[in-house]
Amino acid sequence: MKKNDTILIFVVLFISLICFIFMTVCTTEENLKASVYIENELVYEVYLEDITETIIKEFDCKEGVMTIEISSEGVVVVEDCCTYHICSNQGLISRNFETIICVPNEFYVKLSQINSNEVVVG
Amino acid sequence: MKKLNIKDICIIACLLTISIVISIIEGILFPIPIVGVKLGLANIVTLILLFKYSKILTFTVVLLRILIVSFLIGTFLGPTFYMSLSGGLLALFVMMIIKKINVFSIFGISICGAVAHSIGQILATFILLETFLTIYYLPLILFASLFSGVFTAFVARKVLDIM
Repeated sequence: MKKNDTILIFVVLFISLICFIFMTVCTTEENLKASVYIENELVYEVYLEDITETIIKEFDCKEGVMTIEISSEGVVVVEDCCTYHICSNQGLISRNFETIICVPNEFYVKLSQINSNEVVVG
Repeated sequence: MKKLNIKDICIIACLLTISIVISIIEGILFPIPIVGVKLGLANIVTLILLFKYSKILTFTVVLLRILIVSFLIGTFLGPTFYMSLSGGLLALFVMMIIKKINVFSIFGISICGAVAHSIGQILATFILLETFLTIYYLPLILFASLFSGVFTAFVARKVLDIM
């Protein structure tokens, strides 16, 4: 291994650490809305703090049905229809900018912070 | 391009087969929280070919690997196919350029390839899903790329030593 390789390793480590710190500092678990997109179209949106009971929603996608569970804590995919079941293994997402993405189904759920004057229709 | 003998053709066929198997099993063994995004362990074969054979041949094998894997798992011309294509080809082009400028050893070339592989796939998700949200997983992907890059180079170095 050359000296340049070691420098490269430290540069990549440094960039990933900076990105990680930035993502941690800039994200929050409060005042969030969950938005569900299928084929780049918003199909469902809900304000997490309004949820009193867990909501289970099913969405028809390209390769089958995706089932998600939304609670005030966050969003989790409970049943998916893709090859490796990565979406359901990903677990709960609870911070803004966190996403569950299923590329084969062109399906994704994102959490984002809600503006004070924004109205969310579920 | 120098003429290949039967031994070379057999070795290339074996390497292609190995890269196909690695591509299929790495998605199961090392899942990343974005479906379709892989670490790029198949770059072991790309590195071996790049150091041992010509660039054209390496390009052909990478393209064949992506096509055959997509036929086998049924994703041909689907979103994951384009992700594999962009990741695989970007990794190959980056490794070719880094090798040409001769600044890094096989480890540096491999790390750059692994990072390029992940960035290529993130760019593909950006185009397919019209969202840059996958950037959230960049720290994780970069960190994983570092390990996969070092591991890939280590294995490729060992194989090249005995070839």
